[in-house]
Amino acid sequence: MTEHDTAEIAFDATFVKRIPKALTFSEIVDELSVNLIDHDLVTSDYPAAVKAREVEFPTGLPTEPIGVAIPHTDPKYVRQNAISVAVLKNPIRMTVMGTDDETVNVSIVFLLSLGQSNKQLNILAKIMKIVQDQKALTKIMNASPDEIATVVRDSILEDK
Amino acid sequence: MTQAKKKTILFVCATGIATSTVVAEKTLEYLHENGIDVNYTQTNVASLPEYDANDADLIVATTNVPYETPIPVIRALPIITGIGDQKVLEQIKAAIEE
Repeated sequence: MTEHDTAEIAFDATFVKRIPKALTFSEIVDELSVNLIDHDLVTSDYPAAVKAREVEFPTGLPTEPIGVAIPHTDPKYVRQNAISVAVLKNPIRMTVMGTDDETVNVSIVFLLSLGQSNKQLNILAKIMKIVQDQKALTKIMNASPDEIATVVRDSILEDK
Repeated sequence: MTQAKKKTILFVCATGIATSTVVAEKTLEYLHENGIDVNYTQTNVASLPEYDANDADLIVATTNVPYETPIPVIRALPIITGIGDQKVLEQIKAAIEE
C-alpha cells in the first residue's frame, strides 16, 4: 500500500447506518463503532474516547437547515483512517464546536476515525465539502446506505 | 511600505490534526490569493500554554481557548461550516497585516 493510497481510508456502505429510532449520542457512537472495532480499524477504547472528547470539545456544526456533527478523537485510538455515517430520523441536540452553551439539532453524524496521516490526506477537508453543501446533505437524508456511500466516496476520491 | 517580517499563525483544534488541518488549508489558500505569505504551525489546544507571543502572531482556533494567552485569537468555526467564512478570512488577513 502506497503512502497516499485511498485504501488508507476505510469506507463503504457498511459504514453507513440509517437510524430510525431515537438514540442518544452515546448510543449512536456505539452503534457506528461496532463495525470499526470488528474490522480492527480502531482500538476497543475508541468509542469511550470519542464520547469523552465530545464533552470537552463539542463537534456540532450549525449548518442549516440540516445540522451535522463530526465527532472524532485523538489519533492514538485509530489504527486506520475511516469514516462512518449515521443518518438520524430523530435529530439529537448537540453542542456547537468551539462553544459551551450554543446547541444545534443534528441529523447527520460523520464519525471520523483519523490517524496521524490525516494531516497529509486531509480527509476532513473532503468531508467538509459535503457538510457545506445542503443539497448533498438533503440527498443523504433521503438516500439508502448504498447511495449515501456513493455521495461520500465521490467526495473523498475527488481531486486525488 | 517597509519589508514586513513574515507573520506566524498558530492553528488550534482539539486534536491538532483534524479541524485545524482544514482551517489551515483554507486560510493559507485565501492569504496566498491575496499575496500574503505566512509561516504556520498546528497544535492541539492542550499544548497552547507552551506558546507565547514570540512563537506566533495570531491563533486561529476551532475550540474554545480556555487559557490566558498574549496572542490574539480568532474563532474559526465559520470556516468549517462555510457560513460567514469570508468575513472570518478577512479578519485573519486584517490581523496579519497589522
